Amino acid sequence: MPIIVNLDVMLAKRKMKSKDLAETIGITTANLSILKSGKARAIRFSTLEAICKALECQPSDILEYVKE
Amino acid sequence: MRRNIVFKTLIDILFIFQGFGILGAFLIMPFGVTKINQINLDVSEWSVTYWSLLVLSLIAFVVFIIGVFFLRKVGRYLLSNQYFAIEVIDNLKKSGRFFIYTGIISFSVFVISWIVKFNSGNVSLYNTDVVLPLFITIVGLFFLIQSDVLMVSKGAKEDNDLTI
Repeated sequence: MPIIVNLDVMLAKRKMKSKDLAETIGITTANLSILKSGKARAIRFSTLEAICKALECQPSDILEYVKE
Repeated sequence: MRRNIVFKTLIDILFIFQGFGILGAFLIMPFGVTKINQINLDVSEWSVTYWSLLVLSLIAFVVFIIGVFFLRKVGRYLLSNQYFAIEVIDNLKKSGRFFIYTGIISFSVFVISWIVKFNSGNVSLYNTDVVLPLFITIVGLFFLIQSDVLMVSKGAKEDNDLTI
């Protein structure tokens, strides 16, 4: 898929663990893992909003379009 | 869940009884234990048409049992609530196809026997023998449609499961 999820990069920048982020935004670590691995088919605006709020970033910091 | 158990049990009973039926047809009939003189004629006087009717009926019977066999496989997955398993979709489609074949063969048996009766001047305008082949064909078609619906639902479920 040409949409890349850069959640790992943002987590490293904020020095935050996946487990802590999952707890903060209220999703399971399994679902966060699906999102990080790029296996997710879609992301809800509410989830994106919660991630941006927790990591103090913009959606573009997490999602990136790469031409195939 | 209880409905699934009842469904699987009934399908198992149907399969076992049909299995006994086919065993009886192939093992008992040649020894003359059961008479197959259904057309008020002794077997030795049967024409090719009567024999073809018997063979076609047996083929329809076997094809129906195969359809029930695939339905049993569906029931096995329904017991564990795996409604969207690919095996359920595949086996439902196979079962539907075999039921349609059964309906078509049974209908051709009905048509041939109707022609035989017509030629012997013993014809009836309406015969309830045609209802069962029609119903089996309708059930088979419904299984095919249901299989397609499950396939679409499976995609929608995966989309839903992978939406974070």
